[in-house]
Amino acid sequence: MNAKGLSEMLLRAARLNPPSDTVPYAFEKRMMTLLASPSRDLGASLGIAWLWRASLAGLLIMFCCGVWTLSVSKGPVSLALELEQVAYAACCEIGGDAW
Amino acid sequence: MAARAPHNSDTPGDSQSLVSAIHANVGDEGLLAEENLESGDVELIAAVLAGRPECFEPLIVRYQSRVFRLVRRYARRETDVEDLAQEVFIRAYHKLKTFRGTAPFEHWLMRLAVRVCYDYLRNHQRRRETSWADLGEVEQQWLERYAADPRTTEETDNGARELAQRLLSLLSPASRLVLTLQEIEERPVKEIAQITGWSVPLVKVRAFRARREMRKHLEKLARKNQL
Repeated sequence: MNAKGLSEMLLRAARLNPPSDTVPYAFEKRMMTLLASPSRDLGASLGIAWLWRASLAGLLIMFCCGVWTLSVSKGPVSLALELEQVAYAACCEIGGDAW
Repeated sequence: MAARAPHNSDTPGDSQSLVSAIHANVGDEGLLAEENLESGDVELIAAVLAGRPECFEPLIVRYQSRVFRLVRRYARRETDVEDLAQEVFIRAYHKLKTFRGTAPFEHWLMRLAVRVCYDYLRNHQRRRETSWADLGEVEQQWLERYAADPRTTEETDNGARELAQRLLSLLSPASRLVLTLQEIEERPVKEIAQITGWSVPLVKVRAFRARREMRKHLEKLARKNQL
């Protein structure tokens, strides 16, 4: 079967048979009611506004925590030591109790 | 009815100034003559932007049949068609302040409608229900007639129309969009590029790929039906 010929014929068929342009009864009235109802728009805008506020608050907290961490730390060496102590703390504890 | 107008503080307050603002845009950009704007549309849009949302209703009445016809090219179920048409007018209403009056309102609305339909196709591509497995009797008969002798088959038959719909619904969203705009609505490549926001070379590439995709589907159909 000639796929190219068939595809051209089907496209011609689609061109020759345009879809109907009938409109459901009182569509414009329903549209106006929908546009008048505050739910969709207001809900969406409120949701977006709250998401923005939450993200800004989150960023602010993250920034404050970062500043506080940097201000209380004594430098990279002490940080490494502290990390090591924390990492081995559990082992030392287990060692102390069990052995 | 107290629909809220899609205007905010940055839009001028009175409708007359909005009409003149839109008219000024037409003059400033010089793209189209003022008479290209369908009479009445500009005044209605200006009134809506000025805080009289009820003026949007005549615009819906004027363009709803064209929107429904366009939307039916991309969706088959009547519930989907109505949802899409609603989405078109809702978006149009909320984006009305972006209409600059440099082209007829109808063109702006139809561009918006095509984009809404494209979004719909992309969102629904994973749950397409059509396949070659459930060919209807009319389609099957038309196909058999075509395989026997293509000259005896007619494009105006129901079978051809159904088959064309089925074929289009099997294509990827971009392929379906570009083929509908180029082959069925017979729009030039430049206009398709404007509607879709794609570049002209991209439209050409996508049209080429779409035709190839379509032929591939038809070859699969032929193999399946041993035609």
